[in-house]
Amino acid sequence: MIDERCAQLLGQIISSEKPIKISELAKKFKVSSRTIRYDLDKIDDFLKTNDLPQLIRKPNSGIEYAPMPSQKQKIMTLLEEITSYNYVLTPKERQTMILTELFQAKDYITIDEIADVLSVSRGTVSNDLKPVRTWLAHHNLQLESVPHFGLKVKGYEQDLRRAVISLLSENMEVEKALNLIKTPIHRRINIVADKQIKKLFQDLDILPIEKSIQIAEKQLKTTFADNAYSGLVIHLALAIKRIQLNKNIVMPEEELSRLKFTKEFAVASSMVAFLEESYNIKIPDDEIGYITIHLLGGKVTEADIFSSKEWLQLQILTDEIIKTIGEKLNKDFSIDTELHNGLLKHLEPTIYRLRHNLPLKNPILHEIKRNYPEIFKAVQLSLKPLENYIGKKIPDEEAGFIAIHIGAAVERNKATCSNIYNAVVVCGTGVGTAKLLSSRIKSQFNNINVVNTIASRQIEETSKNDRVDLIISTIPTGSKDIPEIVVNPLLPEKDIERIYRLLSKIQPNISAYTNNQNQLEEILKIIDKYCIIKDQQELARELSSFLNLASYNSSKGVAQPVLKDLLTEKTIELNVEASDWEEAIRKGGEVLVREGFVEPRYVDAMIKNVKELGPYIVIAPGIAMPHARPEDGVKKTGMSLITLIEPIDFGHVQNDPVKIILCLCSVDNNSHIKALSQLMKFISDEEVIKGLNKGDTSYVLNKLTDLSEE
Amino acid sequence: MKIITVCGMGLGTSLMMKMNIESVLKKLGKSAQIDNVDLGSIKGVDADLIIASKEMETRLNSLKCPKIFINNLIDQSELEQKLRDFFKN
Repeated sequence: MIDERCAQLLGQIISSEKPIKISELAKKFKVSSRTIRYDLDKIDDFLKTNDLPQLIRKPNSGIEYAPMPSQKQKIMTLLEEITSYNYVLTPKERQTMILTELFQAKDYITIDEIADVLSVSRGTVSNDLKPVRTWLAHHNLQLESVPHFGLKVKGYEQDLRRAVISLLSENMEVEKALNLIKTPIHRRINIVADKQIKKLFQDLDILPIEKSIQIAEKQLKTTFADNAYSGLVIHLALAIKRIQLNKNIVMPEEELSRLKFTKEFAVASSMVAFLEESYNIKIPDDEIGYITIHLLGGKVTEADIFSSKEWLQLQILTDEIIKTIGEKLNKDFSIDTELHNGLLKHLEPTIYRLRHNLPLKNPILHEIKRNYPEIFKAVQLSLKPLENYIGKKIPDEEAGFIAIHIGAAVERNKATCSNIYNAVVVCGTGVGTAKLLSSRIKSQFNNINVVNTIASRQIEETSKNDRVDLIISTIPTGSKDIPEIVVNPLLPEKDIERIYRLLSKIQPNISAYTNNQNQLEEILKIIDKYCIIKDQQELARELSSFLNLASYNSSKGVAQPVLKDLLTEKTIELNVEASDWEEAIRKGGEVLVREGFVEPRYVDAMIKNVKELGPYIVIAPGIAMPHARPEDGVKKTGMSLITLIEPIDFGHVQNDPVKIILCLCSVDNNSHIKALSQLMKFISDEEVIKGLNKGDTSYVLNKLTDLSEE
Repeated sequence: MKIITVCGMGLGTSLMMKMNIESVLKKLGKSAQIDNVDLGSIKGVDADLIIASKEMETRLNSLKCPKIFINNLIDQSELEQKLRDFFKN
């Protein structure tokens, strides 16, 4: 008889298409080459006793075995017959089997029952229980032993699941574990321990699980790495098995609420809806959380939204939805890039789900409706563009997920705009108690800026200063214009609370946000006046992070400027004189330099571009669009438009001569997208071209305004 | 199917072509993944179809895959005609 390792060895050799080297096998089975050689001899003996051909040892290439199909069948049957009865289990194997018996038992299981399955004595099982207990304890689980009932594993469900997974991975590679679950029992070379582990997933049809993962992959536009895929299948198989046994997992509330913001959570919800239907079970929300974690970890690549074929529509939809919701809630989300990016990423799988009528369950819909009724309502009312785009009504479940994004943005909005209040502190003299009080205030409130400590008689004078938001005083001052609060100079708890309440009722004259924003603009102006700035964008970014501005949108990076912001009276010059194409580009480029969009070297780069790559920038008859790369000295995204008195040849076969020069500069590869798409509409309008040729600036500007209102 | 649009910088005309192709494909009831790249990166990219300005023709001759060259990058009718011909074959 052969042992388990030999059986596995034989299985490996048969299933391999080419010869396997002994060293390779030794590595795989984590034993020495010498051991493998001994094992091979044992296998040969086994084959001989069963009238089967011997292994073929090929020098320099390895071991090979190519039996006839009928012989192969015979070997399979023989290997399957190896049962616990004639196979001697090692203690480790026994313990593994005891654990699987315990894990898959619905209820208590007796030592006798285990002994029976393993074909060993009661005493052996009893002895094995000690290491089994240790193993379980290591996984935060206890083995409960009740007289007359038997044994049962006790512990938290998540520990229990983790233990099963680690039992699986301790005993075999993930890949193999997966195959084991997937393959019907009769098709496998069945080794005892494997057979035992397979019990964990008995009677579970794995197909819907794989289907659900494919659904997820499609929504996320990604492919999972093999091991992540296998891990997810095993996780789901186990989860479903456990749910069927009524064992539910619990996820800490705060962890779950963090996950709810990811688009993967929505995708996991759609998988769960599918699985519930397939297995006719009810999957609790906490499970969705764990699936989300797997999804987050399993992706090979974050799908690039710009590679989506609907990228432009998605951008526009996102903007529109955010804008409408903002109007409904009376909030400005336009500076919240996190919201924009988050929603943009979320919409792609959403559209996929809607188009394919994928069932979706939103486990937190109820909670959203209760906690954010206004936001939910606003979202529902703002999804028209999306509904038009897909041609379907958006169900509440989907609206709920979008509401989560908005809810988070509202919170962020509050945080970034948390106001700073300017206060004067007053006492009888303005010296003693006021100083004491003011230091108490400074230590208790980081959003109160004490601008002055004064005597009560100075109050009239101070109240003229419009920067003061409130008066904190130890004595009544009788101020009428400015809110006043009278407190104990030691500022006890009770007074602190009263100040908080007052603050929540008043609005500061200068909100913190605009305050800092303006400051930043001012600082930039000053720097610009005296220094040569090497990198405007980086400077603005670093300053804004220094000033703790959550999301500074430099004048350069208003995420996506529209055409009428770029083509204005300042950037349009009609009837310009130029003697050749180089001069024409230079004239157009000079406008960009003058208006602060680019450094002078950008103009040279545009000319160099044409010299090197040819006149392909002549995009249509009579129209050229010179441009260069962002790194050629772009300060902010912009455009200039000039027309020439005398049309000029650029050397383009079809589209010469050129009369209209549109110089373009962009800070990156996409911030000019919106303007560019409008530009195409703009210049394909014959009326516009006529207007340009006539030199009618005001007509052109009007057209630009019309266009952006469409 | 994967369509690549090419231009010198990878952000000007190639982007315009990408937008136009999207709307033409929609009209023709076809779908494709469309990426825009600059001349320098085109060699490493594989595509089912390359679309570029007529002026780029000599620079792209060495590439094996089917190509469409366009004179007027704003006018969609030229693009539409050439894409129709492409799909016919």
